[in-house]
Amino acid sequence: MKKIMKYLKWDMDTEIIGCGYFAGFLLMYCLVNYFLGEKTVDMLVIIEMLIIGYAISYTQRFVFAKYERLSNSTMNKRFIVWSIIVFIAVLVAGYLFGWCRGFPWWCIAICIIFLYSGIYMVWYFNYAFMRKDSEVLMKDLSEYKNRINEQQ
Amino acid sequence: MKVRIEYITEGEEEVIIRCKDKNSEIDKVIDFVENSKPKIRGMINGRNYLLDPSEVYYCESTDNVVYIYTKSEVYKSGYILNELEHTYENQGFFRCSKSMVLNINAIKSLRSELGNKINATLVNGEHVIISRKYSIILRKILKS
Repeated sequence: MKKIMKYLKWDMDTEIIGCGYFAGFLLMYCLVNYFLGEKTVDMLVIIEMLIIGYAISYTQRFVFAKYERLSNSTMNKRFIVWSIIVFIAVLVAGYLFGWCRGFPWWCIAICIIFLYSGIYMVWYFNYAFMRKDSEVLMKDLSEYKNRINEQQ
Repeated sequence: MKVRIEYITEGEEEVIIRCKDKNSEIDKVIDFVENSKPKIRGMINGRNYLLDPSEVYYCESTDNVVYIYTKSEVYKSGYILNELEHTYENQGFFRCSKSMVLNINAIKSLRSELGNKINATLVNGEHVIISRKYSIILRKILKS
């Protein structure tokens, strides 16, 4: 039972991340289409984007599994590997599913740069925030222990 | 030996011993004062032990029985988690999940995780994930 609960929690976290990627893809796609005069999005494209968002999310969770025990250099290496996987996955998926069919080439280039920098920024700020937060937690913990020791 | 009691309205209660030299009588008084701290009762193989709260890393409830984890032993106890949480909160005990009370003094490091969770590494190397709900309480305790 504990294992099932643990898996469900892990899966829920992964799904939240996947939904974030999906929302980013879809928003970008909608904006470009809107500026090109198209006001509808094919249901199939939505499903494809959802699948890719989930796939990236699961890859992220596997690549960064037990990241709290990893050293900074290992984390950086894994991030480079992961970002290359994501870049290729988005390119291949976009080509295979024809997300950019009919778009001018400069529009495709902007989309790729925007999506990729978006993914990078989300990742970077997320982990930068967690690192900063961890430092604050460690400082608070140390001060708390000092206070307790002084009292005793 | 003269005994004098000073009553205070605020601040921490303390015992001050004024003596020319530390003798057996003074040692007895020190022992009495130090051992009057509340101890935690634990049991292994039918034998009862009195544990100092500072020795305890965490207490976990499994199948309605609370187990007390120290550096090298696991004791069975008759407490409920609420009791431990409230009796020893001044010694750093805090509820870190529905089924666990953690001694903050046994935490070696804290790490922020996705979803506002906290990963606590204990001095024995064990990892305890503190969920969002309880991490808010821990942050408050650390800042208080």
